[in-house]
Amino acid sequence: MSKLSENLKKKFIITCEIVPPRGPDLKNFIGEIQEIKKFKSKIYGINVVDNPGSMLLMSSLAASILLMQNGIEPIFQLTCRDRNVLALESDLIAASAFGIENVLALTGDHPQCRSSDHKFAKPVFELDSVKLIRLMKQMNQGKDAAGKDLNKPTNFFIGAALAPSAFSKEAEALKTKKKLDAGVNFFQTQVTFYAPIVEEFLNIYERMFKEDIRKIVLLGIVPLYSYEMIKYLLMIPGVYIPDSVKQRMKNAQDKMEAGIEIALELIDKARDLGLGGAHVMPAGKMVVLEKLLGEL
Amino acid sequence: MIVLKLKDISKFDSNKGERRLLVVCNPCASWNFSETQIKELSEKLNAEISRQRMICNYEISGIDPRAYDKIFGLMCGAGVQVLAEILDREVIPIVDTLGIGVKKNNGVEIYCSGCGNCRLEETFGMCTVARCAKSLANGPCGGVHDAKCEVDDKECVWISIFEKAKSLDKLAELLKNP
Repeated sequence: MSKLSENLKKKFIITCEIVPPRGPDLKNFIGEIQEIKKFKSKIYGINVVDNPGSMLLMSSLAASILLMQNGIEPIFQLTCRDRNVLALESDLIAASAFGIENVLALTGDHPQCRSSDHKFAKPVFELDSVKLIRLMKQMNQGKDAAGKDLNKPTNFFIGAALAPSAFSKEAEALKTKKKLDAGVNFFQTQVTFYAPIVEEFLNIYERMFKEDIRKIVLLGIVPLYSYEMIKYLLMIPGVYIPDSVKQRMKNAQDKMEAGIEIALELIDKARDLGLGGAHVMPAGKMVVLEKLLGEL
Repeated sequence: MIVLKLKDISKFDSNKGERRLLVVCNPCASWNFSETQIKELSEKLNAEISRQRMICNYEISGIDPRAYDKIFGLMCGAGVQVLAEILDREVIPIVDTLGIGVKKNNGVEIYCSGCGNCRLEETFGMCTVARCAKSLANGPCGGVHDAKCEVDDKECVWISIFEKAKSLDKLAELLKNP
């Protein structure tokens, strides 16, 4: 059992994120892994991103294996953008063979999305996140996509994304329900700066499906460390940053300190909402993560 | 109709006295391009025009391939192949074939990609394969802003499907597995 699966719904969970290198030099990446080891006791999993925003990085599977070999449990992010069903299954078998259990099933950003550095790449999308979750569930029962036996069942603890500030909250609630029905164990939300949006989403979900999912939802948080980051984050569809946060960052002498303060307040709000935890995305700045975790 | 998108034909501008023919296959060509546009294209290519109808029926008339050094095709990819086979000559396509489309909002949108797996009755009559940039089968992705797709800025078909299902009080149908 992964540390995440053992503790979800029992403790307030903190997960965070690491970004694989953009090239074969592993020096800095291994340095970051060593940094993470220092606060290992406070976190329950590290997401390893899979070419986010269609920007090229080292394979999230290889980076996840490297984390496992360093004694840190990864949350292997797997997208349907670059792999057909055969490749997805192959990577999932590899992940399982190397002891990886936590997998975040994502559809993936389109190669022609705004941030992409590979706009010419062919999008695959044979499966989407819901179908990928279903496939993993099937592999946990020892079967592949064709219904044939694997030599041993996998043991995936399946995660998915949730966008509480999506354009249509009801449509997002419907998709969330589909993910749950497909076999999801936990959700990590898109970056959030305004907890009432999450509360509104959860209320809509509960009204539509008479089901409380709060304990399996981890609130996505990006600790800001500069005012310019706001502009970048607002380019991502669905990201809302209230004026109060913008003002605080603008006026702050020490931007990093202000960003950490805002993040800590959001973590408190996640607790108040009865959520399962928080997912902290340090946007490549390990020092921010270290400082934030020091406060918890 | 089949949607055709003009290629960059500037590389064919100079012809050094070549005898050229532009074969125009209707009705698709004239659905995509006006008479004026077709005339301008033939002038730009310095080519005579031969008008054909539905080359996809494996029928052409009045073309003597020996009379031309270069033959261009204003037609879909299937038409170019048939023409090349019948004439036993290389045919240069001057358009890309995008799919099966409709005229909408002063433009053209692809509504069908001929995927061979039609399930329009499950998606309230709107195609998620052709009209969603990711061909998603289970609902909208996170790339929706103001009901539009982040990739092509067209309306998100999944938001339209959701709204339609809601208006008919049939949201439960969208929970089924495709």
